[in-house]
Amino acid sequence: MNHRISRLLGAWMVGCAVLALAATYYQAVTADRLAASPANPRIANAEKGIWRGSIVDRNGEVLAESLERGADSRVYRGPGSLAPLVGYAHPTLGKSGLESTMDPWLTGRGWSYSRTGLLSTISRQPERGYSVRLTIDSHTQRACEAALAGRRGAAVVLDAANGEVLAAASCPWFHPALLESAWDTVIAREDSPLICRPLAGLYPPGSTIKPAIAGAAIDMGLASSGTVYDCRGSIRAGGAIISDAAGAHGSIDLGTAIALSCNTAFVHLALEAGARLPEALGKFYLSRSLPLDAPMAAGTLSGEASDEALGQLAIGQGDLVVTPLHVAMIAAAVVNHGVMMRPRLVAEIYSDSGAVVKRSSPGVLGVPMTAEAARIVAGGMLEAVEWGTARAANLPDYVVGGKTGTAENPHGAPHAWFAGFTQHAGRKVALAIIIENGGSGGQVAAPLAGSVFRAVLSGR
Amino acid sequence: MMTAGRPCRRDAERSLVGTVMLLAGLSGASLSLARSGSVFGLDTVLCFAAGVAFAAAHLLLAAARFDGDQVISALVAAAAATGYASVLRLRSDLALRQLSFIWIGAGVMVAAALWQWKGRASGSGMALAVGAAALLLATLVLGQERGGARSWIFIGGMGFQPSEFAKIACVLAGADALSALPACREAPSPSAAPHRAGLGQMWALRPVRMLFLIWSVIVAFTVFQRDVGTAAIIYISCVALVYVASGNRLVVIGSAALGAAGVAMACKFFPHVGVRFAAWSNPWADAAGSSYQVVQAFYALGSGGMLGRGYGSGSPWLIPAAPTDMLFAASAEEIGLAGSLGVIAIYFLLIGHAYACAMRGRSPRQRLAAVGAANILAVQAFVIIGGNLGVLPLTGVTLPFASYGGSSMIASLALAGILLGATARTDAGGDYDSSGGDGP
Repeated sequence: MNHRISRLLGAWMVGCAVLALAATYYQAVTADRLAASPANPRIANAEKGIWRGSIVDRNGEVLAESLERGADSRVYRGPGSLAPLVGYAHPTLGKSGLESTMDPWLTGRGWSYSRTGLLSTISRQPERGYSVRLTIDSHTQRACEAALAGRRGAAVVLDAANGEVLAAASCPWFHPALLESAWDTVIAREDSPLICRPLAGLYPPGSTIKPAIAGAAIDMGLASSGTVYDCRGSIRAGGAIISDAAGAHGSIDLGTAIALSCNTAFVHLALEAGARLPEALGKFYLSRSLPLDAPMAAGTLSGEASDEALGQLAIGQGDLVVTPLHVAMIAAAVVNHGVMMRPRLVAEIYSDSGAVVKRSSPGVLGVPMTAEAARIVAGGMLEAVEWGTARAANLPDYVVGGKTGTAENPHGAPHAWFAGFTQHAGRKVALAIIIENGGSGGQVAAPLAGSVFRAVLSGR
Repeated sequence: MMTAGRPCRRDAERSLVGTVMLLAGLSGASLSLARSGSVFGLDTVLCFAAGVAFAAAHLLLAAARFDGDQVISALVAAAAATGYASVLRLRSDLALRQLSFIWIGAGVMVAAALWQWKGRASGSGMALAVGAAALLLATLVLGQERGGARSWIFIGGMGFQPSEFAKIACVLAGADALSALPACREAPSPSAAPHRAGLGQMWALRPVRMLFLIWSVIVAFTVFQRDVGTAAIIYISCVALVYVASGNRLVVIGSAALGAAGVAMACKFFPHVGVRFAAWSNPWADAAGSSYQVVQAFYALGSGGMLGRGYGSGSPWLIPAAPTDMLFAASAEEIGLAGSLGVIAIYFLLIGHAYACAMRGRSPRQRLAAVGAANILAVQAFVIIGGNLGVLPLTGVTLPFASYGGSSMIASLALAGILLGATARTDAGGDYDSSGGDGP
């Protein structure tokens, strides 16, 4: 009967092999996913014992910090208009904003949670989580906050050369410390103070999309600096007539069309470009969200290329809605020779002892237009500030370019937009600012841009 | 007959058990370091004491001049020491109880080995099985329910599970009755066709008829206790034993079909069995409900990763029933893949070696007893480790030698003792059937 016993031995070997494979599957192949799963109770337990890391601005000004171990003692400082971006970490309300997206670092488990077993016995769990240094500059942030002056709206400032987000102001806001007691009223408020408008607010871009359309049209060979267009004051796009409020502009070149925000000229270019236009605008990320370390909404650019849709697209109306960051990225690409840098919100992650464990570095996101196209568009935007629709943003001592927008929307008065840039002492800064239902971009938004630019360039 | 002057010092066993003792002490030291910051704490002493139980067993076996296998008890000691460290880590309050179970079990192991060796076990199987069946019946009438199964008897505050001891009775009864089959005799020469026993041939023998009857009764009573896991272990082990004794493949195929039908019936009539099957086929469907236990095991396994989080750094108590049914997954979090593969390797070597020893048994009865004991341990280890790993539906059985529990520890060690006794090279006392052995 020995050969029959050896068969049982063979079956036992197969059984053990199955067990070893299953153990390997759960402890090596899928281990990281299981260990980091939000439903894994170890994660919530670990948080109770950890001293959560701080969030600071680029100069080390504390925006959020914990005074003791656990999730109960979070203190928020810094400009109030940052509150929707920083978010909150609350034992019962949960987490939002950067407190949520940077949670693995702030709780000290940014490194692989599962593979440090033996080491964690020796070194123990880290006592304190890592801290997060943002690219945000509180000085610039406060200038944006002052410009918004309590009105519903958003402002975002970018360093166009390296993609750093210098300010992302959202107004109104609600202080996280009071959130728990006022939760029901806060979520019922119609002005949504918890939404981070610069990154998650979706608005029709209005005429602030025109620099992108001009750049795309130049690269398609449909226009150049010498192209002259005869504006008759209105144009038919499919079933709709699109007209200029100021009447016929007559013979104008592309720069002047940008400076005067001539709807007729841009609708004409969009109809000529046809289906290539949504494709070219897609390179500006208007159809998706930008890669960022914070919750970010996606633009809604569709590929629809009917004459009617193209006509609406040319003036930034219709179905298209984007975030203020999307609009600022267009202006940044214009001033940065057509190169769109990856936007960055987190500068570095550092440990309790100050050692930097991760540092972000500039990266190119894409090149939505050629340097030549960017030069021509920038020229038009400089003219707009010099004598065109955006002249309220004019600063005597600085080079400022910009584009206003007055975006029709179903919620009342038009949104007032300004998107622009300034160059000074080798720095290139881009800005987008929106006042919800504020009215005319040129009269409401452009003057605010001037004050923000002055603060950015003179502040340091 | 025992030969005077034969070398029975059991040197190999001494070295191996000594090594296990040392490793047990080291794992205790690691546990103590993680929990109290000191290398020589209570944990060190307790783990070392668990290893010492097997050193004592070794000394007793050597004193009795027992000449059986020397590796089995060392591997059993390794399984028990690893398991004890895990139980100790989970429940310090159970440490002394579990330690006393190990010490009692080690004594029972020696007694069972010597009993089996001296031949006193021969012929007792049927009596034991009838006793076990009676005890199971008593449990059904008087027993108490724990964890969905009515398998506990309480006598003066001490509870025990008769089904654990029914396993041993089934093995001994099987070895006694089936060794009478001519198919158990080795073929006279390697070229001759091996003997096979047809079903009719088996049925013709009265002891075999009685055996099948008492096995069926024991399995049925265990199922009625709603302890389907233990019933499946006994059923599969006994079918494998019949296969080894008879060489009849039809028995295996027929029993597999009958078993499948039985499982289908169990799913229908016992709601908790059907729920366990559903939880196994898609654990993520009801992760907070019916498959909570197995999903928590997955999180523990994943959180352990390759090297584990180290003693004291994990949260193994998050799995329900961690010290008993889920010990494998619970310890895997802290000892990692490296450790859980080590645990699987201990059982692989132990049972693999047991089968290899069974082939060298000196009589058919001894071989069948060894195979039967190895079968029970193999199926039980596979069913519960597989259940912890999601390979099989989870059943409420223990990991032999490791999980917390007196009945399980003592019964598993008694099986190990029967295994040991069946490997003896010499005949210590008139085994009634030693004609077919190929021993010395």
